[in-house]
Amino acid sequence: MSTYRTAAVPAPPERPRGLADELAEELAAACPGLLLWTPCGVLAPLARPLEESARLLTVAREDTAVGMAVGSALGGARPCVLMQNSGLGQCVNALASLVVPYDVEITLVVSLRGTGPDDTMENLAMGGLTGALLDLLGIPALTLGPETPADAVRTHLRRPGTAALLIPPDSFGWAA
Amino acid sequence: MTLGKAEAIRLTQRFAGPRPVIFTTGFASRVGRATARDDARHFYMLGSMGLAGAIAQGFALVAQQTTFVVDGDGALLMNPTVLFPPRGARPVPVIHVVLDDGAYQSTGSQPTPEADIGALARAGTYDVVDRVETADALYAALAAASARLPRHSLVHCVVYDDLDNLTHYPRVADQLSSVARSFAAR
Repeated sequence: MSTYRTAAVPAPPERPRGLADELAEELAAACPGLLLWTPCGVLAPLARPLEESARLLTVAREDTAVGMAVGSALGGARPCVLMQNSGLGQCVNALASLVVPYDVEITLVVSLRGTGPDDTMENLAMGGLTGALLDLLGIPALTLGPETPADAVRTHLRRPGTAALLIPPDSFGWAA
Repeated sequence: MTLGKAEAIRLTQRFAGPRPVIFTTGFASRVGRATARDDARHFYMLGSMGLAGAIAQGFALVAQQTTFVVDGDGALLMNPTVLFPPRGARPVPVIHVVLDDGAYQSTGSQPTPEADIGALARAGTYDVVDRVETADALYAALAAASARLPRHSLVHCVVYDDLDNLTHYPRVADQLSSVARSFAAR
């Protein structure tokens, strides 16, 4: 496994393994080429183990991460971009004019701020738009739920073509 | 200034030869496509303005091949975050050529915002920023940038509009999925 960072983030004290750790392993296995993210509080528990293994690169803006992911896919990788759904708004043009028409395969992991227990007003509109937006772009999405079988997640992450995994706010213990 | 925009694009792609070149949207892609040699490995990024540098970085990171970007001042200013690679990322062999005509040429040559492209690049991880205004200086800057790899170099080309006959540079009509497949397959 090659990594693109010069060093891993120092590991924090030992902590119990949870759903985020299991999903991080699935992501690392499904997208060994390149993992990128623009930080999101909901996804932070998922990102932490990926940072510790020096596999995750932090990018200033979500659409820049999508651009880098496209470049890496052209180089033969299956990349993954993790982002908050507010950042999905930044990515609409990158997805609509680059990823989709050029038929480049990348994986998106998008948090669902503004849904479920997250009633922060600034996130409500994007929370309502996220699924519809991906649907209109023709990007298949699977929403992670407490009953979602691990096999379904694994299959979704490995499907051909660009695909998105949506992460509700309370999946890994986030609270408003 | 004596360096024309189309001339700078032709010179850059001639210098790149069969090595990968990512062209930003608009006339850069049109000129790149119209003047491509048979052995060219070009990616014409139509749309997604501002992301050419990001595509180059992602490609070079994985492929570890010297990758050229033909960018514009308006495109770079639309998304300067491409100048700031991830902290701790391994150096990638990218040579970033920014054609600065001070205008959004594709949309009617409206003036671009005031910006010091060189200072912007130096604020990121670009070790060397060369400002050139002639064909000879551009060639010399590309040669120097190649010798410095994998250190990041940005070549800031101050250019004038020499696209007097646009019929020479039609819109890129290739299927975009074919553009990607052709670039990736090389």
